[in-house]
Amino acid sequence: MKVAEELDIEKIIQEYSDMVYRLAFVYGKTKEDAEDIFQEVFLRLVRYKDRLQSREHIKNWLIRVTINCGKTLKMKGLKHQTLPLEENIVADTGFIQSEMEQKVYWEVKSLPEKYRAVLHLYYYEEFSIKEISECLDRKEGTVKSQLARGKELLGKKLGKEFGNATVL
Amino acid sequence: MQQYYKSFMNKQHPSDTLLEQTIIKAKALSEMERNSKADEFSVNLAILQNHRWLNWQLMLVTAAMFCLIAVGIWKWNAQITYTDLTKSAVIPNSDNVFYSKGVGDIRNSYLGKEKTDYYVFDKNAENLVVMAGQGEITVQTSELSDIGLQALYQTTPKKIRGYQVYFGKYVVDNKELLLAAFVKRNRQYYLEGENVTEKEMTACVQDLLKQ
Repeated sequence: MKVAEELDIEKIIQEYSDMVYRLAFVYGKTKEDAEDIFQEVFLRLVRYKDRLQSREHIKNWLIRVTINCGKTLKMKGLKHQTLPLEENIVADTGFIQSEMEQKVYWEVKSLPEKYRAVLHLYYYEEFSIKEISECLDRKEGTVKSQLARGKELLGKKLGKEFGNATVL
Repeated sequence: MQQYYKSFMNKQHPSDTLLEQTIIKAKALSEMERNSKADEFSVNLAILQNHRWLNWQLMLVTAAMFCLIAVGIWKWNAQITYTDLTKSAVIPNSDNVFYSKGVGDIRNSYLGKEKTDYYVFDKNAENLVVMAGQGEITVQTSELSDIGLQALYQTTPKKIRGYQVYFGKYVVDNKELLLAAFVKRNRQYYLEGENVTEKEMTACVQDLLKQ
């Protein structure tokens, strides 16, 4: 099947926009960064659609590219006019974020990159260990240990708020 | 805590403007890529067609070269050379064998046929003298198949007009005689050219073969 020829870009953007945007949010420093990552991911999809092996491959491909773009953005040190994150989010999303929601998000975001993606995919996208390892091209054992380590770090940071109860 | 994280993330959506802009950019890029691929295709096609044209040119040149070589070989093969028979002509030393040291004495008649390695005479042979250039060519025709200097018939014949023609030369008394022999209409032709060039001798042979 020639995936490249059958690709309906608009449809794919509509279908995966939330997933890509949320993952971009985990990596971008600001909302603008997240938007840059978001746009870059789909432009890369157009450029490199020949590399897609199948339609099923699209989701994993998008996740990987989003993470890579996030890393690239960080390396480039793209600077936008920054607002404090809380104000940024509240002003633009129109939703009222509870303090706890923001705190949890911020702590996840502050984790080292390798733990962020795993935690997000596991707890938010509800991927299995196997799916995460396939998606990120990491060994299952590595994913497990990264997941455990990420939880541990979060536990230390958020332990006070949640007492001694299991953090995640 | 998982629910807080989920709750937070559930509220994150790309704005309509962002979506719209992304779709527009993606479509524009897709169109550009398609056009550039068409251009690339055209360029590749042109290169391929050029290649084909170049291939044709190469083939033509190669074929022409082969033809030239073939013609050259053919001409080289067809080239008439007069083999020097001076050393190879053997004069037998026997009383029973008639021999003539002077090859030019072909007009000497001889009663009876005596076949030698050197020369065979035919008293019934018809002789014709053809003037050529500064000299003359004696054309002897005979019913015998092996008149003349026998060593001539050991050379490799050349094919002229479908006839096998033997060419040779012989030096006697500091004089070079050009020799030629062929069979036409069951008659043996034997030519001796004195004071003629190879070109003149060959032309005489060709004329006789045309007749």
